[in-house]
Amino acid sequence: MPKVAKYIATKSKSLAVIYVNNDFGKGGLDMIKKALAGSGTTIAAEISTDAGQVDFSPAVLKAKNSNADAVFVYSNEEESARALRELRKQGWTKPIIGETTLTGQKVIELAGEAANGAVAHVGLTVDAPNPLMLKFKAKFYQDYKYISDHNGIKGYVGVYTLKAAIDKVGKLDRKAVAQAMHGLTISAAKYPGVLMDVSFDANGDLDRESYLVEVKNGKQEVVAVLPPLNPLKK
Amino acid sequence: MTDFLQLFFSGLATGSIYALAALGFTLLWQAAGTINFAQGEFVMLPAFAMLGFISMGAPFLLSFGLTVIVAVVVLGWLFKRGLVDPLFKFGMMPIVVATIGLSIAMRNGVRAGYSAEAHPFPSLFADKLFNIAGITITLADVGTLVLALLLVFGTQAFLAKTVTGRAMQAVAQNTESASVLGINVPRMIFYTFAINAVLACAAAVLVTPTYLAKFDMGEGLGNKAFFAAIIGGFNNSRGALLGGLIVGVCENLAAAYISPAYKDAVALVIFMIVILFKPQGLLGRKEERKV
Repeated sequence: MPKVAKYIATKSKSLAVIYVNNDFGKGGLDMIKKALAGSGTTIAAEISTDAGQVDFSPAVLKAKNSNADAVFVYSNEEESARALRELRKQGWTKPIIGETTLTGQKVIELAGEAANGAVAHVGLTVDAPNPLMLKFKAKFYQDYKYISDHNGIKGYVGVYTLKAAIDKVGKLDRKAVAQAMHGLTISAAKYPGVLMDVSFDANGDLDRESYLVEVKNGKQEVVAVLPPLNPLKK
Repeated sequence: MTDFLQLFFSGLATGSIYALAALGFTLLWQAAGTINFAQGEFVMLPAFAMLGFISMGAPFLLSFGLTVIVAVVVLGWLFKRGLVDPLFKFGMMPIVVATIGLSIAMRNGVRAGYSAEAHPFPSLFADKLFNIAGITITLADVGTLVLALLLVFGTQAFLAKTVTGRAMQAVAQNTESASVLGINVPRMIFYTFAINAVLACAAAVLVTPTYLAKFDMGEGLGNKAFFAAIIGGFNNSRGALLGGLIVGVCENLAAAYISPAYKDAVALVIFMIVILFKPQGLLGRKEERKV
């Protein structure tokens, strides 16, 4: 979230947030507010929507009336797609920004052309300009005949991350392995399966390169590579 | 004012979706004297059937035609023979409970057997936007409203003006008298369920591009449609339309001018007010039934 907040701060001075009124959505709202604090971007409107909501016209109207420079959509896949459709319907031309879900393949499939132009920060994408990731994309497609989304990458990377932690501990001890994950740094040069350098802080939060993607012609396109917050010293 | 009108017209589009589903409730009540709490799932299942036919390469209209045939057999004949016929003699409550159970089984059957994810559904209408005095309306919004109007008035006219429709109503009002008058009761009841199945297919085509094809799409739709049918009048097809539109518009206005958090409560609040002051619904007529 801090990375997308940095991007938002470069694009808008006021932001309307459309979020889904559940733990996931409220968590996202709290995080973006915290990440934007002191950035110069203010929250012009906090617009709650329901899980399963079909009609997004009141939400989009509220965003328009807030005169925000951009809208941040933080919801589930179907609701994100409906929000994108309604934004297009009501002629929203300002930036539409989100996190991983907003530009996910499922949302693009459901929203159709309305997804074009949406920008999101994604932690993992098979289109990342990274030879290991592109190799993973090709091998995954060869085996399963469809292109992996971020969940496929997570599953793959997770196993190799665990391997690195077990190697560090030197034995199969659950508690010791979990403990070793905190503060662990894994280099993709040593463990190619993690696909890119990754480090975990003392709280277990991970830090690695991530991407800003934009939907163009119904496809995700990486428009910027965002370095880790604390890059590894080579 | 522009905002209000935008919300109003968007609400009409959503309301016409509720009305289409509510039409099934009023039809079954008027012509068969039953309530089907799986009505939302009766819209969901044809949507998936159509997707199935489309994925097999059938064009849109052919898929619709094939779905109608399957729906008449499964949601019409099979539903009547397998669930309503055995339970009808025990009164309303067993049918209510059984259809609630059926709705759960249908939802989970589709989730387990097909997919838990939402699927896009092709629209009958072109992806076209109209901007009239600052109000944006899609062709799909207008088309859904117009077709909903046609279906509602068509159903109403069929029930009121044709011999078959009146015979169907007679069966619902007094089965024994209808039988004495020479009406083929089982056939009339089958017609009712068959028409309900066809209407469910039509609703699926109009509703699913917005709702998206998902196993639980009928859950919220069925609830809203039930409230809409009671608000408008359970024994009047035009009541389904009026109830649906009222719920759709009021939900939007409440979400924008009160709080989005209360959006889902709107149908329930209107439902309670109507039940308190006009139990037969806004367009319904008072009925006496022997119990």
